[in-house]
Amino acid sequence: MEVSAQMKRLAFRIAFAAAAMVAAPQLVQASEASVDSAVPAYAKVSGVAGNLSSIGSDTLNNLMTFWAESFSAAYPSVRVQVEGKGSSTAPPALIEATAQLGPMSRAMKPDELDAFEKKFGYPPTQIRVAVDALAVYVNKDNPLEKLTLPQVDAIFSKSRRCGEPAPLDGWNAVGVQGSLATQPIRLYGRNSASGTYGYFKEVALCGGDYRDTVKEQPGSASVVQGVTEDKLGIGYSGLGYKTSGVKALALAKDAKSPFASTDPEEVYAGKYPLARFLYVYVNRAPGKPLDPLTAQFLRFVLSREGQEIVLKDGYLPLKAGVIAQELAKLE
Amino acid sequence: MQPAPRLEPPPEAAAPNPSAFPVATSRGRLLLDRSAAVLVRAGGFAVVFSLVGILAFLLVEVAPLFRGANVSEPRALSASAGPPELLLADASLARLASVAADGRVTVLDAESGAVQATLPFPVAGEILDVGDAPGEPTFSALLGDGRVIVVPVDWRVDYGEANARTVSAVLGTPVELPLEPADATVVAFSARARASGSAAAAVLSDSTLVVVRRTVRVNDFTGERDEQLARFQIPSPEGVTRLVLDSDQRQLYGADARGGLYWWEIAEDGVRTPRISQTGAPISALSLLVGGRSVVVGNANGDLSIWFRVQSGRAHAELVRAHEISSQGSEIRAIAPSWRKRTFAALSADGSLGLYHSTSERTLWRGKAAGEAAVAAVLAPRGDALFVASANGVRAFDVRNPHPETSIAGLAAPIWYEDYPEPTWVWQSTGGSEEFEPKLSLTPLAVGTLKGTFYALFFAIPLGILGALYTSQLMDPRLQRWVKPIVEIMASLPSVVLGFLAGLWLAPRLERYFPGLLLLLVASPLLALAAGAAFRALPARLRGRLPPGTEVALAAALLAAGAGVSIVLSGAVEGMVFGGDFGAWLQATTGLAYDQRNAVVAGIAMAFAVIPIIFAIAEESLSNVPKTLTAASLALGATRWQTLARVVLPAASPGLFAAVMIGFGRAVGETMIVLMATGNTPLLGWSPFDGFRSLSANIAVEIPEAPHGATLYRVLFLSALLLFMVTFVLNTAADLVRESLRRRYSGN
Repeated sequence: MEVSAQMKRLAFRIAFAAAAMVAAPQLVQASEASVDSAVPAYAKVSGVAGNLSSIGSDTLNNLMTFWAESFSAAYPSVRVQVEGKGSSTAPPALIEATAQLGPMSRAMKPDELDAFEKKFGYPPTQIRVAVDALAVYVNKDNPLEKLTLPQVDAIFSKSRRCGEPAPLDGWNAVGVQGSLATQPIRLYGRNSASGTYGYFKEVALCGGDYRDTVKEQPGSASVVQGVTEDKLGIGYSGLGYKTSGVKALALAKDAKSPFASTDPEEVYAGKYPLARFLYVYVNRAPGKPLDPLTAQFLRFVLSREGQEIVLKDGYLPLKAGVIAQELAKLE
Repeated sequence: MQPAPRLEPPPEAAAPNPSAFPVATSRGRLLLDRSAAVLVRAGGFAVVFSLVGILAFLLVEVAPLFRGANVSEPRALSASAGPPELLLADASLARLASVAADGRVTVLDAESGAVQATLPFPVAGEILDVGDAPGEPTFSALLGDGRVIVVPVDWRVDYGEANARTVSAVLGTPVELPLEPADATVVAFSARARASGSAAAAVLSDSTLVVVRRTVRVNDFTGERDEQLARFQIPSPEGVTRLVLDSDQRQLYGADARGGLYWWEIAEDGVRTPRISQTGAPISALSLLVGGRSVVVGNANGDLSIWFRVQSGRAHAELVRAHEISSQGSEIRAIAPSWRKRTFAALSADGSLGLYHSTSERTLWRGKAAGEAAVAAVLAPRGDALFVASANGVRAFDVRNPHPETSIAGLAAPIWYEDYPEPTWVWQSTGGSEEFEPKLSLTPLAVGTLKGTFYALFFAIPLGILGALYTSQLMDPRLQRWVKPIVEIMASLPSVVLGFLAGLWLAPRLERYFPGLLLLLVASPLLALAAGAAFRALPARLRGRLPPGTEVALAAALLAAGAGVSIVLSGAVEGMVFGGDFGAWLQATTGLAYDQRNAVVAGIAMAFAVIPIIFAIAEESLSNVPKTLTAASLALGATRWQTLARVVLPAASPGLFAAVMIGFGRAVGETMIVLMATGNTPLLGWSPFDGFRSLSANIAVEIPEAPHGATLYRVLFLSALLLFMVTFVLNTAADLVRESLRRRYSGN
């Protein structure tokens, strides 16, 4: 495998390095995921100024803020405002034109597209900006390492549409031994305004209903916080919010499929079942160019620098092929 | 402090004639007096107006929920190409495609009815039959050689100058599914195609069922494609005349002329034997609602019923009649489901038309489809138009039907939802796609509100009322001056801070020391009594010399020590009484699960917010008991306790009642603490060990999700209206009681 060869090369280099002990973790980290070398660097243009506003996803909130900071650093006369309460807040903001950028962690629903089309006569433009592996977290002290999606469904859902025959209520039901074995599973999740809520419901619960006992948290960080504080907890949120207090489980599509972790190579290979794109929606009239400020911001996002920021925030950068497709949408 | 009463009458009182005052001052005062009166009156009216305004606004927002559908008079669209077999509408309502029996597609302008284009069937061969795919922009055709062809109809939108859109129909790449029926003929078939795969099912004349499935797997990140074709054949029951395949191509439904309803499950490795349900009358129309789980059955008598599969216990799932719609009176010929909601239209043999919603069982509209026998009907993808085809052409109805899914009964009574074993109360408003069936029962939220209020008052009433009693009647006045402001500071703490502390700090600690809390609940009254007894036991000489408030300090110290000891002993109690693990013990003995964010945590945090209100009102009413009464009681030889229990308490009881009522109102409307300290779990139950979702927190959680003017948005306004009315009634009642109290004392 390409990655392991890279690792060996790195290890070889490290053996010669004096500061091997210090550098090793960072170098290994860098080898795990990096921005595709074919992604071009950002070329600054002149005359970019004005105000940009972004309203939408909480999953993308930190990422949008980082992009906004770097973009404003490149263009001091640009001001970017970022608000992230949930993906469902993006379509109304685009329709009312209170924001030029609508970050979303799921694709728009037909209802939302209808509402946009009703106002403008054409659909919004969807730009993919990053890859996320939606992680299922347990407390760091929990011995559990992996689950199949039907198991995840039977833990979180009362409908069990993915096919598990019985509900899974206790930790022993998913094979956990020791002190947790007699304990119930406590569920943490996002509120319904979140795109993550909708995506998880569609993909991990096969479109079924959440149990009434899932504690709906107003942000991704509070889901992770909840699982950190609760040794019996399990929750889901974007990979960018992972902390040392929680552990992301390896998942398999079904009992017959192999388990895959949230490692970049498994996500890119399409093995991790909850991998998804993150989007930014913009309003672009057909046949007309996007307004220059929004276009430059998105060019920055899709550049080498923008994708480095994706990596820094804990998500995965887009591959060069996808970036080329998205850049074409901006032309 | 009250000024000391003067014995001499003041000089002003000696000259009651206003003219004795300097004129200028008098006019100035009168003016001031009058303008103040006007201002106060205006303020009062402003309050009343804004209350009425809020009420009117809420009613205006809520009213559309309960209106039926608005359907226009039909427009005739000419269709020269003979009677169509089926219709497909473009979502933007610009074009309509009508498919004839020979597979030819005629594209009409949906406004004028003018023919825009005629598209030949894209595959050569004799066409025996055509079929639709409810909820998808495709149609299928059965060819004489046993192939089934699924043809996607793509609506291409071109934008000219100044956003002038033109819509044209393009037939997509046809998908071929070979049935290979050998010598038999096909009796009924159904087929679907989507990006992830395609499938066709058919019942053959030799009583076999054939399913052909083509699966496509595409990796989003690399673009790799993998295709597989599978064919299954099993014996089929006699007499099946209709088939419908669901959009996931996993479930197949069929009907026979005797009223039997069949359900086959198509697994990875084959087709399962069918489950059969008897509907009672010959089935004349069969369709699927969005999501593919609900089967709409129309029969020869004009009855409509909705069936879905239900798993009860470990037994095999079975189709059950979950919803019934009042009869349309004449044989149902066609059923047209909406693509977005569980709304459907039904067309009868006598030309009568109806628009219904499955979940709410509402009849939204009934009308006539213009005389002659109609053959096909379709609802536009967004549900905003209905097209009905007959031998003479197509008629279009404009439909306005924004809120079909709510009924007053549905908001309060149990409803049978798809996937649920029985009718129940559920709040789950949002899904990941349009296939989701919104569940908008306000019952769990109302129960949650009352549950949170109950646990808040459980802590707040005893502490607030007893605290007020002690402070106003027994405490040293110098200490009183400290206690009241401290309680007021308690009231000024933002509830979001309380909620945050409760959710993230208190909840994990309470879980660890819950047995300690139980111990403290028992120990604290005992300790307070012990403190009193200890103080009494002190020699009277010593007691007299101690500074005032020592008894409070003593009790506080004892309680603090008790709390500390309770926490320390928590582990020991847990080991002795609860077998070492309170959560596991609770689960084993009562069946209740202990959740970290539970009603006790929220109750404690809410009590923190409610206590100052109860305390302030109770303290005020206790202090306002006329001194003449207490003085008389004491003078007649009653002890302080007797005076307190028999004179002060009865006199102040209406005020205490008002305090509790206003505390209740505060707890009902509390939002941020509930939002942060509970998990917002819309549970239906009273267990103190799990969470709840209150009406107010629900509004805060869901309003960002609710699109302006949508059903959820209006239901949230309805819950706001409920809250408004509850707090209005409570506060008014409390105020009336307080008013009567004031009147009682005004006589003294």
